[in-house]
Amino acid sequence: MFIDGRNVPDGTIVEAEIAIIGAGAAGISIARALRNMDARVVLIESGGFDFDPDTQELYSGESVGVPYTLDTSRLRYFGGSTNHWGGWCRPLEPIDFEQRDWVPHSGWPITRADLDPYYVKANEICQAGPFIYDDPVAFSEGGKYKPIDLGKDVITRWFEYSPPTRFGWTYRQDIEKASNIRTYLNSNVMEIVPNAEATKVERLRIGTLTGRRFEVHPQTVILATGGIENARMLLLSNSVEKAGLGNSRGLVGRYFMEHPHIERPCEIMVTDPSFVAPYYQTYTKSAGASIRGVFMFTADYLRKNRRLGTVMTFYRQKEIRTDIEVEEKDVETARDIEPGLAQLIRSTSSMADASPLLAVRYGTGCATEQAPNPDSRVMLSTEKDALGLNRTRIDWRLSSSDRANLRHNIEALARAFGAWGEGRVRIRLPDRDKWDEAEGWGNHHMGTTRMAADPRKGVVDADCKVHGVDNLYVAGSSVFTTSATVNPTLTIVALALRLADHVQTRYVRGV
Amino acid sequence: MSNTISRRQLIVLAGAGLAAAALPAALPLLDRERQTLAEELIATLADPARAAEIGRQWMVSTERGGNASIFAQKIAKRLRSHGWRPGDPTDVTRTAIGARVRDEFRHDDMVEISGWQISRTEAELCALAAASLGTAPAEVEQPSQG
Repeated sequence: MFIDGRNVPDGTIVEAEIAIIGAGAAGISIARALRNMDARVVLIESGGFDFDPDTQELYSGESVGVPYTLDTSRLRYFGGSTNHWGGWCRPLEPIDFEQRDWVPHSGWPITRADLDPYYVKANEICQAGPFIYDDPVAFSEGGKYKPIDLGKDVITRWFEYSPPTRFGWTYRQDIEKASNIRTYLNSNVMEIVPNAEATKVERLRIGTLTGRRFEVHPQTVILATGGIENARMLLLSNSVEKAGLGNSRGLVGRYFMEHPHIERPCEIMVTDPSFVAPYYQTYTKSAGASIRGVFMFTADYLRKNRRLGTVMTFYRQKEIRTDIEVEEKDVETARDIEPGLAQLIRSTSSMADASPLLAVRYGTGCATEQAPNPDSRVMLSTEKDALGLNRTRIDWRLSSSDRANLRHNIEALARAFGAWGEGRVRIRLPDRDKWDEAEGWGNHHMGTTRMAADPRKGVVDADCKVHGVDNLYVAGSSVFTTSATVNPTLTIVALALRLADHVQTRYVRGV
Repeated sequence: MSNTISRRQLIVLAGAGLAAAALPAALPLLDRERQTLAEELIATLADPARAAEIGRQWMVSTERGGNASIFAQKIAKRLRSHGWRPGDPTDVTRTAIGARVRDEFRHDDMVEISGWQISRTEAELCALAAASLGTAPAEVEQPSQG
């Protein structure tokens, strides 16, 4: 059942066993998982079924660090940011969960194995096809295509694509038909109010942009408003704990991470385009999935060289030919040596021939891991939104060591292509003393309510329960302890399903 | 006098042996041999003129001097460790260069030309082509050996 919060009488109290705040990828996945449960579930969504500028405006805020756009990097209506999701799916690597002694503040309290069964289900929910991922034989189209063998440091990995699933559209009927779920639209949680000891949530104060005020009194609360808003919501919940709920150690909002994206940090020349399988260059249908091959760095390389991860995409850019001297519109001086370079590679590899096509130049894109940094954070601004709540103030930090790490990884890619013999890499990543302006990012908001077994090191525990608060859980990428390198949505959904299992089990046991 | 070889004698003999083994490489090459060596190496290039332009740019950007003979000897010295000998057929030379180049990438022995990462031997092959074709920049300093 869907209920427009703007029609709920002032002062109404809604009783529920479970309240889910936010109807994005995490919130909808949890609600669906609980839809046959013998418990009243309330799903509370700030927006309606469509984009509304006044509701979206609640996302505006200040950016004081690396310039970042708070309002356009997420969407505030039913389905959340899946309404502009690109659909890239891939599980995190086992090493991403590990404590890496060269990455301060790394180490999740769970392992990849803990998420494996949920990843399979998450893949179904994201409509990404069979859970195959790193099976080159499955993607070989009967042996026609092989991944490029780049040695021990660089490896081909595959993304699977969601159509992309717009969760608000695809799963709307499931939510609507579930007899135990009531969804309140156009309803903003203004505060999560705990008891006097701040050890248990008692009620949620809800307001609409039309001025209605009502409350939800739940036994269990799951906060699922996104990687930035989750932290803001806890910080705004400060009528009892002045620093914010779950923030007695000042960790809420810290360790904000993104995936810095850089367009064409390098170019790759390959002598023979037949070496490059179609799945590297664009979305490719194979084995029942829509896939894309990318380059990543092996766990052995990352450990040995003490590096953070990077994922590199690859697309066809230009043929290098003997019959074209210099590209007309291209003023880059490096272009004039490309035919000679192609001939140089061919001299010692596949041999020059009479064909005017010497090689193909490929462009790249990359997303890279940034190290967790407590000074990179989400805070409350002194400015207020239309509900009278403090807006978000974000101070995103990127370090010169993050950038140096990326440079080293691209150099490793250059070594790998050279050692393979049929390719060479041109590095275009500009050197910078400071990384105080991002070339791009993924709209991936992570780390602000990080997961740690030790309450001194994180906001939530391994079950995603807020340390010190009995009945408050957090879902979404804000619980990521480290950012890894790949897109977070599949992991958000997997974690959400795991959390739904936990909450359901706990409810059945009456704890 | 004992028939056994003293430790001192052993060291002297071993030193002489090592010197003998190193002799062919250390002997100065005749001009004609140098020219032949350079030609052999350049013959492996699919497009010597374009390689020469890469070599010229590398030499300019690194303010590097050098003549064909020096580059040829440097490259030849490295190729010998891959079983190559002067006078081997071009295909054999090409294979040896390929193996050497891949090794250099594996061991991070790369140079940069306009951002392109190529191996040291590749760069020196290009410089050899530039020097042989007379497009190399004027030598600005005495090149170091090695």
